[in-house]
Amino acid sequence: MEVQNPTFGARYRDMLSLLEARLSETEFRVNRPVKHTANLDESHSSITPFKSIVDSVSKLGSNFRHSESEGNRKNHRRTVWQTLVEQDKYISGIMDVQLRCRDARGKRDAKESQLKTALAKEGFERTVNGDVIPLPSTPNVLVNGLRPDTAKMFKSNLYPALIEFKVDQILAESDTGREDASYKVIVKTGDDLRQDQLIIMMIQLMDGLLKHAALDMCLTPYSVIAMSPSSGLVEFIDGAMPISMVLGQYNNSILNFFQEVAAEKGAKYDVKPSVLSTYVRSCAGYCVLTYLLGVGDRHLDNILLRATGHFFHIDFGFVFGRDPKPLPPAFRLTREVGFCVDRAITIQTLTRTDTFAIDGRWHGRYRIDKLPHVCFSRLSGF
Amino acid sequence: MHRSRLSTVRLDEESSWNEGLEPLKSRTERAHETETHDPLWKASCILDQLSRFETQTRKTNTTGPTGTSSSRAPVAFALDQVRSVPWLDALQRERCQQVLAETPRQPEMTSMDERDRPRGWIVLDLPTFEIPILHEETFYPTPSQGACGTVAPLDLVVHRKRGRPIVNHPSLAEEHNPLDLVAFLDYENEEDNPVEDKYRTLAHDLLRGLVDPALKPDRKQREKLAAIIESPSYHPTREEKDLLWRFRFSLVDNRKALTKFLLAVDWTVDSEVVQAAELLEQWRKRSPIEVTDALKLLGKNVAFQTSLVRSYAIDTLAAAPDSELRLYLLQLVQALKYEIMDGTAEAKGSSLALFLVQRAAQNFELANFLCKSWPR
Repeated sequence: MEVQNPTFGARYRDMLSLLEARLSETEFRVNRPVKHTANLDESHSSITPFKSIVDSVSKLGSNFRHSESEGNRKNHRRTVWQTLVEQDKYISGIMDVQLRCRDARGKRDAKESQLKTALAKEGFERTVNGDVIPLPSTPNVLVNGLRPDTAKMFKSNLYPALIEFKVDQILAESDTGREDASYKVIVKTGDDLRQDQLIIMMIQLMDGLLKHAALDMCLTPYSVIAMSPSSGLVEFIDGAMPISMVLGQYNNSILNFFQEVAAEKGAKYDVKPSVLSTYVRSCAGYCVLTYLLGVGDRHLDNILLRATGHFFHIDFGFVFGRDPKPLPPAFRLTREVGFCVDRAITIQTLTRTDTFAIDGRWHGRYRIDKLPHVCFSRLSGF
Repeated sequence: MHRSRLSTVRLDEESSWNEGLEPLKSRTERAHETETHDPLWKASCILDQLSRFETQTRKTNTTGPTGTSSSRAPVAFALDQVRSVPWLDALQRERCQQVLAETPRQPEMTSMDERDRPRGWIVLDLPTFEIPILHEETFYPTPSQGACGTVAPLDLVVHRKRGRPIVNHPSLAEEHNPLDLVAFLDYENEEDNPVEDKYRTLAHDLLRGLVDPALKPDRKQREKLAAIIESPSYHPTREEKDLLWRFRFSLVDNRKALTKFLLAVDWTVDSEVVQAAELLEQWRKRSPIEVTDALKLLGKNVAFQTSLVRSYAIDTLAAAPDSELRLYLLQLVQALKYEIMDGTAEAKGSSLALFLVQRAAQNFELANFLCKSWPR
């Protein structure tokens, strides 16, 4: 967008060449991180000081700097810029395939099988030379290929594709502490994800601030990245179900769902207390968050729930008070919370939700002046 | 002497007034073409013009000295180029009044249906200039949705209570009730008054020349200062700016005051810039700002377009860890737009760009996100 502006366009091009020159001098190095088994539990505990997160991530950064190239399985060396170019080629190749299969004739199944064959035939199963490629959305995940047979296409008018990447290694312990051999990403074309990316950034920022105030709201800032104004990658959260589906399958009650997937006899409502706590916290967290960001277009299909109790919003196409429908409610989600949480839970849990919500807002307040800066400096740019 | 273009325009439903001069002109011409066959219209037009001649001559007779009145009398009417000829005017007036009296009004009125009921007339005196004036107008986005310009639910409630229709757009307003007020967004609301600016430049030393580091605000002034610093607005009024500037020495210990103080500095006055630099140094030592404040300092506000402020902001950013910097990358890339590029300095790269590139070279994660957030 800015590139079309003659002044800014030339300026950005100049700076990009500067960036290219510098990154072409820097070698891309990866080493295997030291296993932090002890730290895994820590990330699960409800209170994680912001500082420790900062430390852990900057450790990841230093890995690149001071590492001996023991993890470099191949002898050939790459610069950071080359890595980025390869990554771009690989990902945009996949996007091309998705785009072609999307426009192919036939129903979803036909498109899906075409996607699988195309991915296998065109050599996306393995990366070029078997080099590891950091995913654009989560550069700490290094992949060396994908599994064409598990590729899926979602039934939606843009037919986003679910691609399962083969993970070579994950640098630094991720929040979920997963050790999977694969990493699922949704490849989307024809949709502008830049706004989603901005909002996710803001959620990450707020999450950091809340954690700094010793308040873990169990938010799920899934990673989103816009590769171009009309395409991008979205992290796929395994095991998450839209609330609408949960309600449909479990007799219109979220409590039933939890009693099924996280049963614990004798506990309150026969649900594991940790799961219930996560649910209440994340509900409250997102309540405040969506209110502050004025997220619109909320319905039960774009609010997701995991068996771990994580409750989160997706799809931030309408924010800052916009809404496809007129007269949206000012404080969102109260209806959903009241609706989702069955009468049995209501009184006590809801009061707790409120406390958390108010708590969240309170702690948000003394840092709240941060948000407008971030928000408006971005808006003026767009 | 002020020359004026005279035209009488008939208001129609279709005529839109918000489109500037051009459409208006064409409308007038069209009105003249279509209405020439209507004697009533023509007669009233002429009468109108005659009455204008009369006031014109009366004015020149009373105000101007008698000797020069003849040289000033001919007023060119750009549209019709008709001049006043006293003996003809009298005849014309007589004839027009006759026409008006003769023309049967009644049948025409009855033939009008509800939609065609008598409409208003508007007489416009548009200034004409001897030298063509190029006027560049800023085009603002038409507010369709969003915080400014949209009809929020709260507005609806308020309007309903007052019993007024909500009108956001002039065209809508006509449908509701033409006499109702039209609310619209004034984009220049927060601009400064140029006249006052000039005055302040001239009287600068008198208003802001005071240098007294020991000056302390009293209780009322302190409250006011706190309110300014806390306020989310980045458009302090003149009084607020003066207040901030006056007590600048006492603000140094407040990290939040820095952004507002920089707005209060008049960057066109050298002595103020020198003082601001000194104070900035004190701020740096005594109460360093946070990263988010630094983001603000990289924005497009004129006050932040100085290398002094920007280098200070970048120094602050340099202290932030990579993980925090990552969260602000989108904003920082946008802030590159407002970098000062004076060609000679640091060939091509501004200091913010250099800073970002350097950090990206150290951390692959930053490099990845920096490339992805680059505008395409």
